[in-house]
Amino acid sequence: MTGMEEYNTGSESSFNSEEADSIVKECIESVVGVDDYSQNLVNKWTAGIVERCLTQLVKQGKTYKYIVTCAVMQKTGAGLHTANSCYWDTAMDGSSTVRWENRTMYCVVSVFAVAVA
Amino acid sequence: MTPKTCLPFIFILSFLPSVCPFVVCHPYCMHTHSLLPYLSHSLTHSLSLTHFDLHTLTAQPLRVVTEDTCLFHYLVPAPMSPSNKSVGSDAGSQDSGDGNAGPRSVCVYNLHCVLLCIANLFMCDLIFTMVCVCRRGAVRLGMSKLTQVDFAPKELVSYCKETQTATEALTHTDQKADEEEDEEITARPIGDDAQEEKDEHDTAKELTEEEKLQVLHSEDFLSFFERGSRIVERALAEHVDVCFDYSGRDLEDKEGDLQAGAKLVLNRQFADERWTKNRVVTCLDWSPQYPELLMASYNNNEDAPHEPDGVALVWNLKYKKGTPEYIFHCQSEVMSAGFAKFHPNLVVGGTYSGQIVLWDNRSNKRTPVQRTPLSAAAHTHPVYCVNVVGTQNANNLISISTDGKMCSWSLDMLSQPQDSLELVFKQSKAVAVTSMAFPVGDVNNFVVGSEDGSVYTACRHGSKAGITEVFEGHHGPVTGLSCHSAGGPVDFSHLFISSSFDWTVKLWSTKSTRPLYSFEDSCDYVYDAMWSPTHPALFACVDLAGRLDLWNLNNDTEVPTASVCVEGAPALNRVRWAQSGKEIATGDSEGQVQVYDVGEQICVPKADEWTRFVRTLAEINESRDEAEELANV
Repeated sequence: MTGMEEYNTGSESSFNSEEADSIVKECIESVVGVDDYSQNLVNKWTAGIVERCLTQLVKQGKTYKYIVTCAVMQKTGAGLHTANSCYWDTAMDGSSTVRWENRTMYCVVSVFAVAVA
Repeated sequence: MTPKTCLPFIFILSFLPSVCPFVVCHPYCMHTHSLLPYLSHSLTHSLSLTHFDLHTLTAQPLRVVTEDTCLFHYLVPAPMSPSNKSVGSDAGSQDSGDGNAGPRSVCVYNLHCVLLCIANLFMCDLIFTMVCVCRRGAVRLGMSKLTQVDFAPKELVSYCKETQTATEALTHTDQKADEEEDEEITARPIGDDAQEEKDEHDTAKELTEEEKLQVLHSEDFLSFFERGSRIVERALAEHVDVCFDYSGRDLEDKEGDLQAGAKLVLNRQFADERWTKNRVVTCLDWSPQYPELLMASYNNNEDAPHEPDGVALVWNLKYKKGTPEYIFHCQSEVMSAGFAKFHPNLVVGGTYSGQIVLWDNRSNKRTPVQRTPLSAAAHTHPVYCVNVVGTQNANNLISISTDGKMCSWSLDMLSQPQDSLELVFKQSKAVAVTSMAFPVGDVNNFVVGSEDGSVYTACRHGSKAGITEVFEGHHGPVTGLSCHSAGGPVDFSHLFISSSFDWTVKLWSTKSTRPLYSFEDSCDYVYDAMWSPTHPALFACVDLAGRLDLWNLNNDTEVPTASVCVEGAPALNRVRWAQSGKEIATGDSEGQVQVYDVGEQICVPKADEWTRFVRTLAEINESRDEAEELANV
């Protein structure tokens, strides 16, 4: 049932992941920038990054549904491994994952864009 | 409204085959009594009907349904061909059903109908979906590429201070207590009580064989035994002459005079049947804290494969006992070793496998308390040079292996080097380092000798970290290096000597890349050379023929001032002056360590030695320049 709504008979080209990369990187840097990991602020950061990314992506004006996830991990020497995969319209839909780090933390932001009718 | 949104209504409709659906479901109808025909009409109108449906519909007159009929009957489609459906219909996604069966006959199978309806509903929906899919056509579903994010865990460098010793057992007080008890027990049988005697015997015989063994192997006993045996050995080995007469009446022979004239006298020889036989002495070092302690490291014993390959023994000159003060061993041959300069309890060893091991004489273990890892971050080639440089508060252990890798370590933490540096000459040639020396007081600049016969100066820090200059002159691998260390009015710390397989010892200055002088008295591989720590113009060298030579440059630069040949002429591997400058230790290829006393007239510098040495150096320089001119002409 739900499959129907995602199809776009649409006119626009497919998802531009490089552009999304740069948008996301800019969002991360503007929210977190050079700060060190802080337990008090990290909630604000993740919320801020997600919201900002989303508003920027929506501003592009394309008829896409966006899903943005953001993970911030403190650098304590532990390892972090994530993976994702999707089953969708490979022509129209796309995703992009941005890894960013500074001295004290890692930040992984994933953007999934699904074309909409 | 899309067909999809209508479906729930029809679903509800199917469940409530009475008045409610009329009111609830139908969006267009407000009047219940007109609902039914309207419903049926709207159905027919709203559905864009195909010829097929139209026929069925118009052919059927719509009947009035009573309350107990399944209204839904109208809406239940026959299994129909899905391809006729279109998108934009408002009402339910089904055809209006077949009205073949009479309402009365249907009402018997009410529930049955309901279930059927539901089943059909779902199927229709699915079919409808598929229709849409097929209609769309161009869309393809596929798996996207797997996106992975990986952050590797960081190896946590942990400080592991394993040199903490166990708490000391109160062996002395225990012993005393035992002694007291024994006395009591012996005192009591003197009393007339035979019964008491029996009791004491019984209590004395309490320990079984097993318990005795247990006691013998307990840690407390072992540490006491080791300490105690050391003390007892020293006491037994003393040959003190209690009858010595200080008035000198008994001294007939003038041994003292003979000895006064002697230049190099063998004082002690150290060897151990189990630990040094068939091994070669690889390194010697005097303890900075206790001048009577001498450490010697050995390589493996080929005749005893089950014994540990690497052995380091600490010998004590103060007492006459012939066994080592401390015995340390490790799994790989120890190629270089030394006392850690600012940690008097630690002995550092560099091994053939590239591991650096640390022994502690406070622990009772003979195996290393700390080891560096065998990894590419540390050394993977034999470590021929280890040295502790720095000051009391800021010191590093420097180690260089034969592949030219230099690592600096902190003695607290040998799990990873603090710093490492590849010694390459002119960006390409790795230097195979066999010996290393730091000038006195310098922690940054040092000299290394390599297998290709060249000596290099290098520095540890700074923009030019690495090899700085090359000093070419030897025709064979450089075996030993020593920087001038005798402090005095004049600073000679730019001088260093190197010994090599080419039978010579060469004198260099860091100011010039050509050797200042070459000492060519030896007729065999010269294995080691060392400046005296007190006399500015004195150095010792040893060679393969078993000769120990002392050169005093202020006396003569052509021949050694004193020379002695070791008994049996074994190849002498190492020579080390004691800090006092009055004793020399040599190690040979048979595993023996000899300690020689140097005659005072040689080893004690007079006040003018430094100025004389300045003159000597000037002469050497002059003769070198002359020789060069002649050569150029």
